[in-house]
Amino acid sequence: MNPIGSLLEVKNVVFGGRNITIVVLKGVSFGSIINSFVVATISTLITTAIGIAIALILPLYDFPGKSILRNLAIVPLFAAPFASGYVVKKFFDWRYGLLSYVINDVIGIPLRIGFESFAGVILSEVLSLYVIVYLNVSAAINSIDYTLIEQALNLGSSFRKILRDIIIHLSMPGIAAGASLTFILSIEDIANPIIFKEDRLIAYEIFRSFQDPTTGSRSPGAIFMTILIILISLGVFIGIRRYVSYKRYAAITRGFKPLKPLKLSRKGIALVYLFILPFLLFASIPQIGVFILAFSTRWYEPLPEGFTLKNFAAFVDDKIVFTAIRNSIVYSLTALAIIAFMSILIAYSSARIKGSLSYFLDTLATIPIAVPGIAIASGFFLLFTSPPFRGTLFDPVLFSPGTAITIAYTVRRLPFMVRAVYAGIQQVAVELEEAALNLGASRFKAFTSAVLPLMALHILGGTLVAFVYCLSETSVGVILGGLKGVSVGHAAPITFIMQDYLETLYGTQIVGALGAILIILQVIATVTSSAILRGYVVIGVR
Amino acid sequence: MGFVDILNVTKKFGNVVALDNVTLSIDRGEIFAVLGPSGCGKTTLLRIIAGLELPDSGKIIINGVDVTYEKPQKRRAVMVFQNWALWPHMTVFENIAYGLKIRGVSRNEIVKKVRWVLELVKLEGLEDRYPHQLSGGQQQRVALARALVVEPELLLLDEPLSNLDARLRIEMRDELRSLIKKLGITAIYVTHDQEEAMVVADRIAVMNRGRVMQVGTPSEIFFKPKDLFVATFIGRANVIRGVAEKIENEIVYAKVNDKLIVGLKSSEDLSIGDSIAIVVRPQFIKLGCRGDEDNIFIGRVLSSKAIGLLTEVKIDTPIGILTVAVTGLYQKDISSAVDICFDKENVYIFRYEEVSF
Ligand SMILES: Nc1ncnc2c1ncn2[C@@H]1O[C@H](COP(=O)(O)OP(=O)(O)OP(=O)(O)O)[C@@H](O)[C@H]1O
Ligand SMILES: [Mg+2]
Repeated sequence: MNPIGSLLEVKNVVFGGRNITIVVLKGVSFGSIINSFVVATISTLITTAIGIAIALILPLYDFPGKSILRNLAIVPLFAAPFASGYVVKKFFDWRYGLLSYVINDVIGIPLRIGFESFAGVILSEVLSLYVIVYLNVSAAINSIDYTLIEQALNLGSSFRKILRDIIIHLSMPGIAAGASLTFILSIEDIANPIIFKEDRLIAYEIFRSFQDPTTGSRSPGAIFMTILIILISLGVFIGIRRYVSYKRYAAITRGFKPLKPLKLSRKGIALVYLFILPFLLFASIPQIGVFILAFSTRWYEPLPEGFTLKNFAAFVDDKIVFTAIRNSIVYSLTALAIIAFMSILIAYSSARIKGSLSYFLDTLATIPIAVPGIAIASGFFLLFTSPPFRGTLFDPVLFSPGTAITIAYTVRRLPFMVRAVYAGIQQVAVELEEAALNLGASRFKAFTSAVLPLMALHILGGTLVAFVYCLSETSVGVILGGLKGVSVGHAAPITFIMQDYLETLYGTQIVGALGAILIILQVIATVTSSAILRGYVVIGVR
Repeated sequence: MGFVDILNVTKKFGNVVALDNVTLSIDRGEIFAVLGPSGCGKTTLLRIIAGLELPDSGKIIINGVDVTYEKPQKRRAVMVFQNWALWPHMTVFENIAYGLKIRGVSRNEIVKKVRWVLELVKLEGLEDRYPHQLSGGQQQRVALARALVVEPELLLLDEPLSNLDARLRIEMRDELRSLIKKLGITAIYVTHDQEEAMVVADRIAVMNRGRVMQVGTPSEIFFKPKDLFVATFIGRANVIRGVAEKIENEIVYAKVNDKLIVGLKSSEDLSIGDSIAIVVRPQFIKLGCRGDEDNIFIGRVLSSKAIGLLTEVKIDTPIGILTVAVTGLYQKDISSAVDICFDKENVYIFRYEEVSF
C-alpha cells in the first residue's frame, strides 16, 4: 500500500514580500476505508484523553471560576452545521487564517501554521466531540455514590488512590460510551470532509455518490461503503448497548449521596488556568466565529471587512433560503408529532411491561443513536426509490425528499425523546396509575388523567430539544435534500442550503447567520428543558 | 364460605415466593388484619385481591363470584395504597371525586357525596388544597376518603398509617376502626405493626414468608400462638432452648440446663427427646414468688431500665438471661438475688426446627 501525500509540510517561502516558514499539517492517504478508520481513531484518542481530563477536574474539584469553566466546557454541544467547521478551517488557514495572521503579521514571527486535509478534519472533530466524552464521563462520575468515597477515605486511602481505584474504575462505562460515540460520530461525519474538501473518506464517498442520484447511489461501491459503515457502527453499538439504554438514565437511586468536590490545590488551579481554560476557549472558537461570520459583510481576509445585519434579512429576501427554513420547520414539526406520539407509546409500554418485549423496545429505540445519519439517509433512499415505494409520495427523486427526510428525522431523534419520556414516567409512582384503575378508570383514562399530566413537563422538555435538533440535522438533509434540485419551491432543508451556500461569495455569511440562529435555538432549548427537568422532583412516593 | 375467599393462592416473582398457597376466608362486615414482617407478601396479597396482580395459581372469590381474572376496574374492592398515591396535580376535591366521575355520577351528586365523606373524615374546608399543602395525617384521610366515597363493598388498606408519626398512628387507628365499623364495610387491613392489628381488627392472619401461620382473634393470637414465629412476632418474648423430657396431655416438662420448666404443649407434633423452644412473655414473669408456684428459679438482677409505665429488668437465671416487664418502677440493686416464677399456662413450648427463622 502506498501512502499518498505528506503528514507535515514545512516550507520556506516568500509570502507578502517576506521570508517565512510555513508549517502545514495534512496527513497521508491509504485509500478511503483506511483513511476513515485512521481519522476516526485519532480523533477518538485525542478527544477521549481531553474529555477525561476535563471530566476528572470539573466535577471533582472546587476552584475559583469553576462555573465559568463548566459552562464553557459544554459550548461545543451547540453546533452550527457547516458554519462551525468553516470557522475552524478559516482560523487555521495558513494564508488567510487569524492564527497565522496574529503570529506572523501582528507579532512578527516568521512562521505561518495551517491545518489541511485529514489534519483539518481531525482538528475540527476534536474541537466539537470532546464534549461527548466529557459529558458521559462526568455523568458517570456524578453517579458515584459519595459514601463509597467516604468509606475509602475513612479507611485511610488517599484521594489519589481513590481516583485510581474507585473513580476511574466506576467511570469506565462513561468512558466507553463516550469514546464509542465519538468514534461513530467522527467516522460518519460528513460536514468536515466537505468543508476541508477531503474526499478520500468513506462518508464523503457516500455523499458524492448521491450527487448523481440516478446511478451513483446504487453503485456497488456506494452500497458497500454504506453497509460497511453500518456494520462498524452496529459493532460499536453492541459493545456499548448497556450504556446507551434509555433506562439507564432513568434509574432513581434511593439514599444517594452526591459527590462533595474537593478544594483544588494552588498547583492544580495553575494547571487548570494554564491548560484547560485555554483549551476550552480554543474549542469555543467555532461558536464565537459563527457569530462573527453572521454579522460580517465579507470575511475572506483574516479579519472581517465590515459588519452588517443584512445576512439575517436574507432569511426572508432570499427565496431559496426562505423556502429552506419553511421546509425545515414543516419537516421538523411533522417529525416531532410522530416522535412525541411514538416515544410516549414506547416509553410507557417498556415502563409497564416487563421482560423481553421491553428489552426489545429499548433496543429498537436506541439503535438509531449508533446508526450513522448517512446510513439512514442512503437506506431510506434505496428503500423509497424501489418498488413498492417508487413513484409514491415516499419517493425522494420522483416525488419529493420531504417524506424521507421527515421519517429520517423521526428515527434519528426518537431515542433521545424516548429517554426523556421514560425518565418522566419513572418519576410518576406506578401507584398513582393503579389508584385510578382501582377506582374503575380504564387504562387509557388512568394514563391520561393520572400519569400524562405529571410528565407533561418531561414531554415538553424533550420536544423542545428534539425540535431544535431536527432543524440542525445534517447528514440526511445534505444527502437527500437536493435530490429534486434546488430552484424556487425546492424541498431541501436549511442544512442542505448551508452546505450549498458555503464558500459562495455572499452565501458564506448567510450560512453564518443561519448557524448563529441554530446555536441560539439550541441554547434556549437546552437551558429551558434542563431547567424544567431539574426542577421536577420525584412525584408520588413520599 | 365467607364474603371474601382466598383459595390456595400462590404467587412467585422469579424465584421469590411472595405468596405460598394462601387460603383465607373473610366474613362480611369484618375487619380482617393481615400481619407480618416486611417482605412477607402482604402487599402482594392485597394487589391480587384488587386485581393489580394475577396469581400464579389459586382463586379469589368475592361475594360468591370468582374474580381471579377479572380486570381491576370491575372489582368493587377499593384500595388505600401504602404511600396513599394521591394525585399531586389534583385538589382534594378532585382526588376524592375521581372515582365518582368514572362511575358517571352527576355533578350535584358528586358535590353532595364529597361533602359527606369530607365530614366523615373531618376534612371540611380543605377541598381546594393540593396534597402537598396538607399534613401527613390529612393526606392519609384524603386517601381514605377517596376510597370510602365510592361506597366499596370491600376496602383494602395497605399499611394506611405507616407514613404517620407514632402518636398520630395511635390516634388514627381507633378512629379508623370506628369509621369502618360505622359504615359496616368489610375491610382487609395490612400492617406489620402487631399492636395496630390487635386494636383495629376483629381477626388477624399472621403471615411469614408468603405463608399464613395462624388466623384468629387478637386474643387467640396472643394467648394461643400456634408456632414459634407467631409467639415471638406478637408481643415480646423470652425464648429458651431445651429438650422435651416428659409429655402429659397438653403439658410438657422441659429440661433446660438440668432445670425443669413446665408449660403448654403448643406444637402438635411434639415428642419426648425433641429439641424445643420455650416462650415466656416478659409481662408474665413474676418477681418474688411463693414456694408453691410453677417454674421458680433464683436469679440475679443484671440491669433495669424504665420504659414509660414499665420497667424492663434483665435477670440472670439458671435457664438463661430473661427479660421481665415490671409495672411501675423497680428498684433493686444490680446483682442482688431475686426469685422469679411463671405460670405454666403462660409458657408455650414449640418443637424447635433450625429453619424456623
Ligand atoms: N413486582 C415484584 N417483582 C419482584 N419481586 C417482588 C415484586 N413485588 C414484590 N416482590 C417480592 O415479593 C415479596 C413480598 O413482597 P410484598 O411487597 O408483598 O411484601 P410486604 O409484606 O408488603 O412488605 P412491606 O411490609 O415491606 O411492604 C418480597 O420478597 C418482594 O421482594
Ligand atoms: Mg407492603
